[in-house]
Amino acid sequence: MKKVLLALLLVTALPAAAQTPVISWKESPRWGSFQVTVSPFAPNIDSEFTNALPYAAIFGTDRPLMVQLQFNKSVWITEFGTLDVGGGIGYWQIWGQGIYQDSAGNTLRGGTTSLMILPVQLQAGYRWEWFYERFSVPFEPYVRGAIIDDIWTASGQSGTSSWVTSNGTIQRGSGGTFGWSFTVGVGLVLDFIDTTLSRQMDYDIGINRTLLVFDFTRSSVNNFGSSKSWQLGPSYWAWSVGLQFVF
Amino acid sequence: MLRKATLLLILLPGLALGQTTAGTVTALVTTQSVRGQANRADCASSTTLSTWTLVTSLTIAAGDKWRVATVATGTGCTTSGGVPTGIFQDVLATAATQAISSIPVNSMATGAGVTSCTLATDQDINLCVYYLPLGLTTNWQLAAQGTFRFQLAAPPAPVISGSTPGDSQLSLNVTPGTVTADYQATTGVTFTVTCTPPTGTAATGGPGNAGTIVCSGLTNGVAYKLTAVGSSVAGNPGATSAVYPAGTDTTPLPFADFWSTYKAVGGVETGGCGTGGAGALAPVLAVLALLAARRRRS
Repeated sequence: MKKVLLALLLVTALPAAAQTPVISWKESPRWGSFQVTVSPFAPNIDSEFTNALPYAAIFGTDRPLMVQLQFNKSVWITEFGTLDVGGGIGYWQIWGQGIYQDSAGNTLRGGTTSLMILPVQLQAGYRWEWFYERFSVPFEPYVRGAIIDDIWTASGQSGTSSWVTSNGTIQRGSGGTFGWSFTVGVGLVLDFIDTTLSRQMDYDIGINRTLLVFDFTRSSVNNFGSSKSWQLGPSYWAWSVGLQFVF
Repeated sequence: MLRKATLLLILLPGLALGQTTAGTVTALVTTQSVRGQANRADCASSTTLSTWTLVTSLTIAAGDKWRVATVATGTGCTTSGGVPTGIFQDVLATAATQAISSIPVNSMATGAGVTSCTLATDQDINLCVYYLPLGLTTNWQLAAQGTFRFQLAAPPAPVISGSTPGDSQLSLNVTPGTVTADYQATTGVTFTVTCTPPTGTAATGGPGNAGTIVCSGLTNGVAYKLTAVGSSVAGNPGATSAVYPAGTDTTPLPFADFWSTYKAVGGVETGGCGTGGAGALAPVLAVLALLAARRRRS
C-alpha cells in the first residue's frame, strides 16, 4: 500500500516538475568592445604665447563637443579584468569670425573661419571587472593610454587657410600633430538594472555587457615637445561621458 | 419606320457625343523648365508659346484632326453637346501620341476665363484635346485632358535680418516676408540680393533659398546698401525688401582668419606633416583592423 501511495505521489509530482523551467544561461565568448563618447574640448594653442591669444581672439572660450569612437580587441581576459588594445577616431570643429584692425585701432569682426581636428589614436587599456563578477558591484574602473595623431585643418573664407612667410614660403593651414593621452575612468554596468534584458541582448546580438562610462583624460599633442609644433591637447583633465558595449 | 431608323443611324454619330478616352495632355511653356505652369509674364504675352504633348489610344486615320481648348478647372472639359471652340487652329492628327507646338499661352488663359494675369492667387485650368474624325465636328470625342497652372501669386517682401562682412563679400541673412493680400506666394520662393555701393555698379547674389545668401565681388572698405527680392516658383518677382542701411556690418574688409592671426603673432606651427607624417596612425589602424577581422574569420 505504501508503495502504491509513493508511486502515486511521484506520478502527480512529475508534471509539476516538468513545468518548472530550468534556466541555464552561459555568457557568449567575448571578442572586444566598442565605445562612443562625447567630451567638451578646446586645444591649448595659446600656451605658446606670452603676449597674444590668437585662438581665444578668434574662437573665444567655448568648448565644443568632441565625439570619439573606439574599437578594441580584448587580448587578455582573466577573472580580474580585461586588457584591451585598439584604435579610435574622433571629430571636433569650432567656428569663429576673422579679425580686422582699422587705422584707428578698432578691431572689427567678419568672415567665417574654423579649426577642425580629427584625432586618430592607438590605445591599450585595462578594465577591472572583478567587482562586478565577484560581488555584483556594478562598477568597473579602467585606465587607458594612447598615442594620438591629430589631423587638423584651419579654414577661412576660401577653404583651407594659407600663410606666406617673409621669404615667400607658403604654409598651408593643415597637418598632423602627434601626442599622447592617459585616461582614468569608471564604467557603470547597466546590466544590473535588468539582467534578463541584458542576457537577452547577449543571446540576440552578442553584446555581453553595456557600460555607462565616465572618465578624465590628460593629454599632450605637440609632436612630443617639438619646438616647431603647437599644442593641440587641452590645458586640463578633460572629462568625457559615453557608452561602451562589450561583445 | 425604315426611313426613321435610317435617319437615326445617320444622326447617331452626332448623338454619340459623350465618348471619352483616357488620354492625357501636358503643356510646356517655352520660358519654363517645368511642365504645367506659366507665370504672369507668360500669361500676358502674346508671343510666349507652349507645346502640348498628348497621349491617347485612338486609332488615327488620314484627315483626322485635334482641337485644343482650355476651361476653368471647376468646369471641366466638355463631353457632350457641340464641340467647344478651340483656342488654336485645328491640328492635323498624325499619331495617337503627338506634340502640338506654338500654342499661345495668353490664348490658354483667355480660353479658361482667367480675367487678369496679375491676380494675387494661382489659377488652375484644364487642358482639353478633342478628336475630330476626318476633321469634322459631327462625331467628335474628348481625346485627352490635363491640368495646367497659371502661377500668378508673387512672394511678399523678404526681410534682411543681418549681414556679416567678409573679404570682398557680404553674407546676408534673408527671411521670407509676411503674406499680404497682394503677395501670397510662399512655396518654392527663391531670393536674390542686391548690394549697392554709394557710387558704381551694384552686385547681386543668389538666387538661393531663405537663409544666408552671399554677395561677392565687392570692394573692401566700401559700405553697401542691401536689398532682397523673392521670386515665385514660376518666376514672378515679388515686392522688394526694406533697404538694409550701410554700416560696418555691410562693409567688406580683408579679415584675417584664424591661421593668419596665429601666424601673424609668431605661431611656431608650420603645418604639414608632424613626426612620422600626418595621419600615419590612420593606415596603421586600418591594417590592425584588417588583421583582427581576418583572425576572427579564421
